[in-house]
Amino acid sequence: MNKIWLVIQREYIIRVRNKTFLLTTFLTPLLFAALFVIPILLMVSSVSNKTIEVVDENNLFQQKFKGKNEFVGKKNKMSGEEIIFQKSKYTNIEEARNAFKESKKYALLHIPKLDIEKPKGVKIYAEKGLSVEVESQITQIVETTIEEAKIVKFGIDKQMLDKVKTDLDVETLKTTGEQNNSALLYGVGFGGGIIIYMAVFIYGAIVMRGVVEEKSSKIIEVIISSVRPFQLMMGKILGIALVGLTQFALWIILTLVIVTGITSFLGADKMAEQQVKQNTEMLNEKQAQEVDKKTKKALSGINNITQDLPITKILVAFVLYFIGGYLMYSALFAAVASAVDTEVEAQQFTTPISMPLIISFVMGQFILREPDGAIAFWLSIFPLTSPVVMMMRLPFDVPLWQLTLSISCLFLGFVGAVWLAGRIYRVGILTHGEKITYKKLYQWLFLKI
Amino acid sequence: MNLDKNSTNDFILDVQHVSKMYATHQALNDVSLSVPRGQIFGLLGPNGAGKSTLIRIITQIIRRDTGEISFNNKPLQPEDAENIGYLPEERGLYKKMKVGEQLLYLSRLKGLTKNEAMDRLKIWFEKFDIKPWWNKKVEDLSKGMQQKIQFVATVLHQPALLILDEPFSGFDPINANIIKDEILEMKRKGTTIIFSTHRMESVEELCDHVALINKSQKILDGSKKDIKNSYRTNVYQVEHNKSFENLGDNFEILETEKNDDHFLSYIQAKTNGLGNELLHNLINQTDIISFQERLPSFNDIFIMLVTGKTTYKNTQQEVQHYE
Repeated sequence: MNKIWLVIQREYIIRVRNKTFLLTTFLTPLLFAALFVIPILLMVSSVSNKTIEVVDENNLFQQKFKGKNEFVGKKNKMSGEEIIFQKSKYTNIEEARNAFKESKKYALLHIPKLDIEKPKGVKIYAEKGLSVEVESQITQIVETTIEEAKIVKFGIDKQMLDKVKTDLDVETLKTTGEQNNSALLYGVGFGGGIIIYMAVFIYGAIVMRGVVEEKSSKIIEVIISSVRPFQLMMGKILGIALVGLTQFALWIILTLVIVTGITSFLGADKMAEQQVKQNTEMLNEKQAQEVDKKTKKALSGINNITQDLPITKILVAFVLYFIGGYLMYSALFAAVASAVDTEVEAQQFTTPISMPLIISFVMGQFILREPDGAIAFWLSIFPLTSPVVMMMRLPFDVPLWQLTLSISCLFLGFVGAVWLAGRIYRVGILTHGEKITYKKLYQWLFLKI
Repeated sequence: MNLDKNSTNDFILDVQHVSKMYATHQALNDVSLSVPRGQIFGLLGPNGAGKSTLIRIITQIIRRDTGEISFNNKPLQPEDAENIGYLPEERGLYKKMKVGEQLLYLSRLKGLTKNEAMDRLKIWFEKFDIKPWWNKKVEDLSKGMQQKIQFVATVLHQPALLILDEPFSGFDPINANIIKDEILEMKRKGTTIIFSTHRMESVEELCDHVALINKSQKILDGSKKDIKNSYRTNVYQVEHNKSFENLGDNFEILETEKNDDHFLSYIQAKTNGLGNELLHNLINQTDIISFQERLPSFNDIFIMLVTGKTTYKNTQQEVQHYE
């Protein structure tokens, strides 16, 4: 036991001190933080409004201008960028076009005399070509304006029309009556699955490389004259597991520190408040109300994550499934690595071994679509696939008995994999220059040594 | 065949009837041998004879199928690994690890505390004059330097039994000599050393006791002196400058070669201890340039045991001077 601890220490310390480890551990949170912070920075810094000059021969926008020279057509929620419609000085489109070339305005909208029942000939001129987004926004505004004109023309009762309009807001509820946010659940499920998937591969590969290194540098026989091969294998696997957990912990802590630091520096809370206020000041009051309602709902959704998600369950399960899945797969990786002489040879065996993991990842979308289906169920019980699949299912609330069964199976799978790996490992590390086949690996299992 | 006539019964290691079977290959077949305490024990035999298998069984890297092994008069235990130092034939170091750290790690695996290991390392680093290497990565050292480090790693925990498998393979002559001196020094301090090699001539000068292994079986075992004596062929090799004919009833001239300005003759004596008589007879007939008894080398003995052929000419050009 004392010796396995020495092995764990060595495996841990040499890796944690390694430059690559330090670099990835400290740079990745910066990347994460950047993903959070850059949109905020964009919001604060680069608000460049787009001005659209309007030549309105039909006086279609009369209502909107309300006697003023311009009105705000649309506001981008993320950046705060506004599309401003501005009445042109010119009534003749040719003059307006000539003048527009000199101006720094974004686009020129020409609404000719038209029959509102068959509107034709609306044109947008622009220096550089419009972004699809802006074009569709302008079109939408012109359309709604024409629609409003039609309502007046046909004498439709606006109140009646408003009543006819249906705005259905469907809430997904669990049978317990709690609110459910399926997009969020999908995201968390997919995220959890992908993290386990990558973690198992990344740290499993480190174990594999470590074993091959000991063999190719020929130190293995020196070491196993002091410790049992099984102790060496487990020491390596556990040491690298600790490296992984350290890295995860540092990522989470550092990301939180950086994000909190930057946002508090920028006063992001105030910004968000202002954002909501601006949204409500939008021109179309009804739209604004709706937006406001949605924003509020989203905000309350985020506030209620803890209610929406079985968060403690997910975190506990993440640690269990990471450790279980990692231990199981890295033991198998260690076994094949012990049998070969180079990393390249090892790769040819790791691909078939990691097939279940790849399959569970590929099946991800299917599982997330039907998290309670039979396939999802069985894949989340089978130990080779359960780490990824169960993480995907978990946000959709998995019954406790299934979780218990799955973790028990994972534990058995881990014990089995370690036994299997230990049997192969003790033979493999003393084998040099042999052509390795699955048949041979199978024979090694039962070899007396 | 056990030729150990002056057995002391103080054996640090006693191997009894050990056999080992790999899938289809009998690696060791009923091998028994006893390693006397404080001696250098040569484990000789060609490649693939089973030497490494036997050593791996003694170091408990692999298990024996049958047989008993006792270490210090008690059955061999896993804890005994801390009293055994092993330098395998296939040896290396962690290339990316620093020299000092690596030696600390390896010696702690052998049961030393950190402080003990540090104290002893300081002595070795001074002795080999390698202090500046402490913080160097192994991959930055030359092969010879790495071999010194490996040797230090093997002996740092001051094992009672040191097992060296082909210790000089890959060593340059200077380092080989340094290591040879260290081995003799350790023997002087009471360490027992098992020395395994297929190059039999290389251990003749070092070993006190020898076991020969061929095709998974021990074919010979005994003290070097006894073995040499029992395989004494009573052949003398004489360089002389005039030919001679009759040397008396006790002697037979096996062969005479004429070289540039002298002759080389091989003379068979009937029994032991006739050297003086032969000299006496020769002096009357010729001028003697050199005179020596042809003691067989281990290589000769081995070839004789394996092939059944006796040879009085030296296969390794190695000559034991007559005393």
